[in-house]
Amino acid sequence: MAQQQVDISAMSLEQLNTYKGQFENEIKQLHARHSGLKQAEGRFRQSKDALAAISKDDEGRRMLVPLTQSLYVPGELGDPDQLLVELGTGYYIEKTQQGATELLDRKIGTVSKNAEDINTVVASKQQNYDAIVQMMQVKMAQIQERRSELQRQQDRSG
Amino acid sequence: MAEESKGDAETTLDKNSAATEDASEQFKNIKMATILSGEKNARGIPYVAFIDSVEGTLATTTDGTVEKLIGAMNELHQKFKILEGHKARTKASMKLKIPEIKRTLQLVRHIQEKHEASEDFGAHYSLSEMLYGRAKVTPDGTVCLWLGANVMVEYPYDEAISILELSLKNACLRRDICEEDLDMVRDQIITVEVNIARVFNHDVVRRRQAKGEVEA
Repeated sequence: MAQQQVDISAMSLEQLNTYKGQFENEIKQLHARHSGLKQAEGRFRQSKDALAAISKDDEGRRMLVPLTQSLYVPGELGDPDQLLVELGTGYYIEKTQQGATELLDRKIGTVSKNAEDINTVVASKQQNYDAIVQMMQVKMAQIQERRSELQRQQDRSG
Repeated sequence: MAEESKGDAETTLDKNSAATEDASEQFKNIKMATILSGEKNARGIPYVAFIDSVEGTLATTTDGTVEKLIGAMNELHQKFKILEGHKARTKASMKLKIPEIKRTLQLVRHIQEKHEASEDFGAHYSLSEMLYGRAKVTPDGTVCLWLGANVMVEYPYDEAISILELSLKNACLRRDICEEDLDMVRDQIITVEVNIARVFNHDVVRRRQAKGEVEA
């Protein structure tokens, strides 16, 4: 994002208001994106836990195999080193348990980093927003001051 | 995930009639019975009478003021809107459920065939949202169906198939009912909106005339 040095003290109240609104929207959007990333990270961690639950010794163990959301059939656990990881949009890749864990770790790392970056951006936007709000308050106080000055002048001459 | 028990056909049908009773109950309270045509569709949703003559309608209503009439029609309009939303949501939910039930049915039949041929087969199962593991399925004559609400029941193949078929039939029926009702409700909403516009315009004309007379 291009950082422009704009002199906010030179702007009128309406302009400040527009900027304030803009910043509010941007901050809201960034918050939404941040929580989306956090959710994704949560899901990856869940998958990692599930992965840790099976081991080589369990091969051949009796289990109920979920074939659909509502159908479970009796069967045996297969080789835990032949896992399919979903890469998205219909792409699957076969991995060993180790490989899948590494993949998930990488994904968690990327997502966390992006979330951190967003946090930094939000912080700087928040600063700008606060500065604008402050300037608006100063301006409003000035306007109020001028109005009461004019009123006093009128009363004196009137 | 099925929210209601698949195997319990009676309760599903009961729920349907409860929903229709709801519709009749909701619309009973509209005070001005003249804006409804008195006819209802199969689920108890009333048809709206198109106002041919605004004067005529005003004369036959219990309290012939335009404000009351428009107020009642607005209330009716809101209720229809809520009903429309409800039907649309049910339709969308059915749209998801039906292919799921079909898939489950297909699988159970497949397992049955394998059982008769005494064959095991390999499958991938969902270990988590994005992980699939390998497993060997050993058909032994029964399958387990998740009925929702933490209830899973083991059924022999034939029973499971008949339950799923019944469930599929009910879901298709509900979807068709929803579509029919949705169309009908949308028509009634348009009729009510047109009625409101006509009564309002009639009132505007009347006021203008009255003003014209006063000035004349």
